[in-house]
Amino acid sequence: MLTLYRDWGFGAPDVTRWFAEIDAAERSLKAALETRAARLSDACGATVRHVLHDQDDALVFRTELPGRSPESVEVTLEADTLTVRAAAARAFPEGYVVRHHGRPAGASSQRISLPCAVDAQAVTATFLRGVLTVTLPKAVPGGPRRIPVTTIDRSTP
Amino acid sequence: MTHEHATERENSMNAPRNVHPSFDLLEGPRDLVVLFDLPGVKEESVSLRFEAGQLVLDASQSTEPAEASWLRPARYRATLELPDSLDPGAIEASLDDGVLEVRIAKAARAQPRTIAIKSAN
Repeated sequence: MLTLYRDWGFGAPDVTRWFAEIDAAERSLKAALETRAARLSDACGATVRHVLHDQDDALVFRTELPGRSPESVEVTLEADTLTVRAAAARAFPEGYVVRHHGRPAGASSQRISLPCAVDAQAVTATFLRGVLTVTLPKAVPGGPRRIPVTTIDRSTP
Repeated sequence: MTHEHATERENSMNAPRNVHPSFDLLEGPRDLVVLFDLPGVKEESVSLRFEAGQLVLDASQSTEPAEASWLRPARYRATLELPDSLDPGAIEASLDDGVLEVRIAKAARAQPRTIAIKSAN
């Protein structure tokens, strides 16, 4: 590279421009890598924290979906499977450069097999502070059932 | 003794889990925005400090009976080292749908400036 400028009288090398070009190349490479990393983490699917709680008369399913709006969450119940789908999180505002991207931003889908029959008509769902709660009343109220013991009269044939 | 053990076990079951919250860091021409995922956290349970160039967050998930079906509520703690070109006096924070948005303005010297060109006449 320097040999091209051996004749200093002809034109001194513009070193600051070289550095500016190197900086620009580094920036675009970094941006490309960050976008790739974000896409990869979305593709792998974020680990969504959830819990299914048995509350005697109902099953309660809760899951963390921070940054989603109630409108972007879809809850469906089919036979004994509960499905919760959440759309991707809101896009970043324009004019900002992403320096660190650690929040799961992609769409998510969770399928949960329910351990007992529920009353599909009575299922309710609420979304508060980024937490979705689905309450599924059981079709038959649980709890211990006493089975009466009858005696067999051995004298009758 | 047995009772003591039972209480100890109960406490450890209900003790909060320490969680490092997921976050995004965005840089704009005039400010820096940090987004923390804090699902199930109320405004009053968030403590946020900015000192010596560090943003320190401490927040706990609600343990109210209606919201406490988590086996162990999370306690979110994070310390972020931020550039020293920020204005510690200009910080805004808001909590919406389980996401804490912290907006810190850049110091005047770090913001882009347009320099007016004076006419020689």
